[in-house]
Amino acid sequence: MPLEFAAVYDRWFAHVCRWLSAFGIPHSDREDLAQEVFLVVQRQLGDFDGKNLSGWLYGIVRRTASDHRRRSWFKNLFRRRVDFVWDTAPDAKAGPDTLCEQRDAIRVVGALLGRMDETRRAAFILFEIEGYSGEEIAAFEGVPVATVWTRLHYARKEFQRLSAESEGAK
Amino acid sequence: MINRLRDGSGDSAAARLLAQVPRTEISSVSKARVWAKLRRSEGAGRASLVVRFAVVAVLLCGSFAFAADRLSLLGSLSPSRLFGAGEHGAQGQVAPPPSAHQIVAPPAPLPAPSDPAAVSPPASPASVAAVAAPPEASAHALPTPPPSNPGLLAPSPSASPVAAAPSSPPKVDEETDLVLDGLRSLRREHDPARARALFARYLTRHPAGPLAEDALGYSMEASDAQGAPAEAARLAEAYLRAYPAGRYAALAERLRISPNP
Repeated sequence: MPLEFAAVYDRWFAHVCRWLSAFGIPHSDREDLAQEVFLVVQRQLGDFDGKNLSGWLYGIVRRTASDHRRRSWFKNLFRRRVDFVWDTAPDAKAGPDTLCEQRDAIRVVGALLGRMDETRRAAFILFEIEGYSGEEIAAFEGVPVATVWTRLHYARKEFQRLSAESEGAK
Repeated sequence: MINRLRDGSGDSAAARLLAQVPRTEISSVSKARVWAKLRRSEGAGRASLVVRFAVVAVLLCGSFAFAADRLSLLGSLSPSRLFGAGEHGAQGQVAPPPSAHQIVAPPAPLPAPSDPAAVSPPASPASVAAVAAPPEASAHALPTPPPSNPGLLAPSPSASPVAAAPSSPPKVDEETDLVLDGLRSLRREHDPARARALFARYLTRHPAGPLAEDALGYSMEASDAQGAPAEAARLAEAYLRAYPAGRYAALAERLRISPNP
């Protein structure tokens, strides 16, 4: 049965936005990039074999994010080059104190993630922050689950080390 | 199954940090906005194709029209227009001729008429043309024959509209070119015979033209310079009859009274 674009969009829009976040697309650019992703999906949906939809979409997101970073070279021409920007909106229902703490935490975590290895980082964000399971991440990335656990193991160690260094510097 | 850092060991700094970071929440407003943009871009994609085609077509047509216009302009730049007269192109007079009234000014030493009240209406154009015609066919005669139908030069009021209307109205450029060429031959090339022929042709074609007085005045001068005092006197008589207080009246008086031997 052929896939309907509207159904794909409805089911996967939130996931696409989270994946974009894991690839370091800032909150301000995320909607535009999501639109680009779904334009590609709309164009190529007829050729999709229907085997691994999440993996297919994840591949499109990765390529779109990579293209976006390459295109934005001009913006980074006269300032310090930043390849990875991770941010997320704080919980709007939280009180002022919690909101302030969340903003600080988002800034610090974003800085630590920016210093991590790229391959491990995506798995780390998807598992630790976005709440995907190891099996889901393996399906997205088209790798065995054991590879995901290995990446997560090293990513955790790296994050904890960076976090401890950051605490020690304070 | 591996526990998440934020769920398991909450005592480490990393776990405390991650526990404060919320999961990326996607609002339904954002979802609806991107969907609307997708729908718009789908329609705009088809429309933009049509617009692009139209823009390319307009650009092509514009370029073609511009090129055609330029080419036709180049085609109209004949040597005679570039260099004044065709056989005098070697003199390098590339600039377009100035207006007739700037060039065809009266000679400087001639005084202006002292009594403006003495100005009388000019003689009939036909008589001026008849007088100005060179008396003999010379080697300097121009190849273009005079008009075969004299009636076209001075149409009578009762003539039919078809006969009265000239087939091609005289252009100001052609009129000026004849007089300017004549003046150039007279003053610069010192070829009074050719100058006389050109002035006579102008007067034959446009006996009441705006440069008729100048052409007749220069005809007198050319005859005098050619060493034909009788012809110069005849032209002076005709000039004074047509323009008793004209700009060349003083020259005409001198030529009529004391013709050169």
